[in-house]
Amino acid sequence: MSFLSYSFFLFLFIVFVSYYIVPIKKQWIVLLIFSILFYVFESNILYILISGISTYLISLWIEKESSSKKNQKKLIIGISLNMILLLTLKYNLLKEMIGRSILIPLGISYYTLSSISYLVDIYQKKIKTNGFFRFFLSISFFPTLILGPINRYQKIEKTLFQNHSFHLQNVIDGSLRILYGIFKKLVIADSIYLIVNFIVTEKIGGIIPIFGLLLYGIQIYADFSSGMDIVLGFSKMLQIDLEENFNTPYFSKSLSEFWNRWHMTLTNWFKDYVYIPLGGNRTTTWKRNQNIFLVFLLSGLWHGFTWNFLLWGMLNGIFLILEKTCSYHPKSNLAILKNYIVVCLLWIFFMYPDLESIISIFHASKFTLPFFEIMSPAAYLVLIISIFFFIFVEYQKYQKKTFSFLGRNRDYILLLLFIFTIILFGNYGFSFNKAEFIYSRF
Amino acid sequence: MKRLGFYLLLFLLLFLGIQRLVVPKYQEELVEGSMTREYYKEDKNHQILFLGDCEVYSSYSPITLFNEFGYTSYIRGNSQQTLAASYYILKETLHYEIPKIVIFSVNDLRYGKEYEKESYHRLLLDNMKNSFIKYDLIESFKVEGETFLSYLFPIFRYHSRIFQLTKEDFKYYFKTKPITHNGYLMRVDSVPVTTIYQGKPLSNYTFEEKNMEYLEKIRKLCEENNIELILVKSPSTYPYWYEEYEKQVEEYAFHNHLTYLNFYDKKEEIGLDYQEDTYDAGLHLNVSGAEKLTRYLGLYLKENDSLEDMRNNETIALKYKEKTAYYEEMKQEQYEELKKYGKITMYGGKE
Repeated sequence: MSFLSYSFFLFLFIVFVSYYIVPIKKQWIVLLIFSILFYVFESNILYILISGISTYLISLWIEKESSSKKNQKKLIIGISLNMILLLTLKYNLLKEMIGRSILIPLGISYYTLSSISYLVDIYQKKIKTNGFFRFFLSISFFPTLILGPINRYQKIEKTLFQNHSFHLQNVIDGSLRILYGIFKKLVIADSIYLIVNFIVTEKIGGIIPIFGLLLYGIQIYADFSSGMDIVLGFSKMLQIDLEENFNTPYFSKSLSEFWNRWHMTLTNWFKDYVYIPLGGNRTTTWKRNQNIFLVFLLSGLWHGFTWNFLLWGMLNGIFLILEKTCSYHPKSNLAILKNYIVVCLLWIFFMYPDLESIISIFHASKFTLPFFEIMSPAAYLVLIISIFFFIFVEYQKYQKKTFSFLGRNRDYILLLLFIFTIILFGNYGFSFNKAEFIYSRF
Repeated sequence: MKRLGFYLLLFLLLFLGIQRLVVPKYQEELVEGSMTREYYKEDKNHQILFLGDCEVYSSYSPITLFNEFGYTSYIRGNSQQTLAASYYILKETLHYEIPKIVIFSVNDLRYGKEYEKESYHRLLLDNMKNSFIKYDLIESFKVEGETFLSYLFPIFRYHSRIFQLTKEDFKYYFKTKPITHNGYLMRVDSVPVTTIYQGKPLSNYTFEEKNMEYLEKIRKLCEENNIELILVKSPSTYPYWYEEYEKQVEEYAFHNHLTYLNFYDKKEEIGLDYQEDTYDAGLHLNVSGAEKLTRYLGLYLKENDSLEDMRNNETIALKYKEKTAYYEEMKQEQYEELKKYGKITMYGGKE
């Protein structure tokens, strides 16, 4: 069930109605039931059950013991179990071992990290076990299974299990965010996809791949953040405040700032559960650099077990070490542009499917892009206006401003604007090729 | 609350207004999508209903049938109309009127999965009134990528036409003109038949089971409503009508006591001249061919059925007088166009 299918929105509607008609103390049970149903329809529930049950049992086992040494062993067992499941299922190691491949379970990259954080937080006594089903909902909350964000029990416990009564304004705010997400996906990301996909599949060389990368930077952000808008918008309608994944990342002046604003739940997870336990900043420069490098290497591998992601992670790590070593903290606004170019150049490992394709740019025989064969001039105009609007919204967020200039009718005007822009200019329907969310494959 | 009401109303107006703009009008370049719509504007008192694909809407002229025999009729045919579509259209028609005779074109029986195309479904359904019959029809022949919602709200299908709007979209935004004459799509131009095609051998000549099931449903529906069902095959020279097809239809008609008329075999009696009477070298009859075939059919009905001559009914006669005037006016207009440009540019003639 794609985020942008009619059936998904029908499912959301049923969940929404059910959520508000049951007694408020049972609301989380509604979410649990629908999350299980969603999982059963979409994937094999066996693996998330194994991961969930084992994690919860080991957490109970850890809680029983006061000795930190003994608990460390239990923690290692718990983490290892989750990692083994992730490695064998996501990276298809099972195929290497027994010659049989298994469909990657939905959301395994996200719920494995959630489970590990739960184990570590229990071990560090930051949280206490509070029933298996509550924990299971925290790792399987259905909107977060496709694109995240990575839920940490400690952070969502309060909002997920609180009682929520119906508030129209939350529904309007949530709907606006969902529509803004769909606008970014169907009008911006999927239009750019047509251009970028042409550059990649037609193996166009020269200056065009650079142009493609600058566009891809917008595409991947519009695409990924649109998914987040749908997840967070729907959660907002249920009055559940999940963690944000982005904070105007392209307004960063350095790569280290970018990583504090991009895919924040993943970055923070690596910071809290890998970087800090390894010593973090409170160690020698050499050790700190080693830790940064390791974190980005793992982050690259989290995206996929390929040379592309490995190199992408390594290069990000190296650039970040260089920035730290040179104490690079630029003040000028030009640094925003420079940083955008660096980030986009690194997206080359995402834009092209493998290293061979990247190398093939240098042996290309085509060097021009037949713009108007890909889209009509009017469609380009819509895309350009939409990108400017996207940048404007980002800038408003960066400046911490809202659209207050639209006055009392702001919400209604924006709702109408998004609905009709999506309906008229969105890339959807019978004659369009559907582009899946980029991050749904990770 | 007032504000919410205002914006809801604004949304509805914009939605319907924009939808009207982007949905094709089927008035000049591609006119076949108008056929379903035009039936609803008709008085529903026809004695004969024609059902089928292009072989019915190009082969029979209800105006001629009335003027020469006094029989009222309507053609509910669409391009590549499948058996399922014919069945549901018949069902819908019976909701409005019960004709005495249904004349069904057996050419539809040839259609297999390869003929089920979204573009043809659109021509048929874009202007069909919303009803459970329409929803059943959509579900019965939806192909991959087609969604129910896009039939309910065609803006979801045609939204990208916003970049391809033509004068036609604005000219016919509020009002459309009639394209057919009781479902008959007129063409006066002619392209002579140069080759009579012989069919290539097929691996399987048996009509699809689904088609036969729907034919049976059509038969039963007619039986339940005391309607005489007549099966016909129009005199097209291609696509080739195999002997094996003919046998299956004859057998079905024999077992179910139905009349089956294959007009291809009767071209001499009808007086058809393939050098003059088709507009695309043998596939579709032009107006001259259609009038000849209609006269032949009218004579058959006069001899074999006891349909009332409605020319004595003043109201109906007056209505058909107006229809005849429009029929002749269009004929004249097309002849003039043909003289001026050497081809028909309107009414679907622009290719």
